[in-house]
Amino acid sequence: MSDVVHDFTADPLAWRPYLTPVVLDEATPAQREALKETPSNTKISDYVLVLAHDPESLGQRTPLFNGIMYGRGGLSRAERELGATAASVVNRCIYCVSVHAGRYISLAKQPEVIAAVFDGTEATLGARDRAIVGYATRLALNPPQATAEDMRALRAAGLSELEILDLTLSVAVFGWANRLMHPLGEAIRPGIHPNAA
Amino acid sequence: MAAILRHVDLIAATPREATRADIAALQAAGVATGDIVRLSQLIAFVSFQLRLIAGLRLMGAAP
Repeated sequence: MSDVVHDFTADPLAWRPYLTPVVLDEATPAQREALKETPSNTKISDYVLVLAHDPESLGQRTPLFNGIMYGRGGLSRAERELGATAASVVNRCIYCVSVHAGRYISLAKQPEVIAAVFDGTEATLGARDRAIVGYATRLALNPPQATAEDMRALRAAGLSELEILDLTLSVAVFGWANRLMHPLGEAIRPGIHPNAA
Repeated sequence: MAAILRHVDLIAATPREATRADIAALQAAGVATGDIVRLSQLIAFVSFQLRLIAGLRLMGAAP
């Protein structure tokens, strides 16, 4: 299909599921309960409505995801987004990349860091960004590839233990999110799909 | 069962390779929509756990 996007971008995209989303008006009480965490003032996305086919896992996942990505203290929002972006690049979740690369750029104002992640040229980055992206990439690809050398680089770049924990959690939770969003749907150009996420 | 095992291996190890055809293969094997979502959540949650545990082990190891 010609509107499918296959290349990494930080520009907004939409997402089209391969499975039929739950229809809100027909949702069971358990599905409605699991959907409650989604703010009522925003339209519930097709992504969340696909996950609502299994309300038990959705109900557990939403608060954990929000706590990891938006909880106060520890690693900055921007650097959590950088870890999320690096993991999403490894897993080629084009839609996830567009969202989280875009958030990183709006928070950190450093599009060149995202460009390096897209190109695999993170060796050119400063020590802190290089340590974050390198660890995130290896942990996302295959956990045993992350090593004590990554820990040394993160600590040498000034990350506290709490910041390293938050980075680990953000990369891990995108190992989760990428395995839902990419296998269950595809990234498409936005604007012409009234039902897209 | 073969279709489910194949899908678990694919999504656990190389999710970047997943395409629309992989979901269609589960549907063709008779896996219901709710079960496809449950299976996907299970694979994805274990992938989360493995990365969290690996990171915690590295953090806890002697510097």
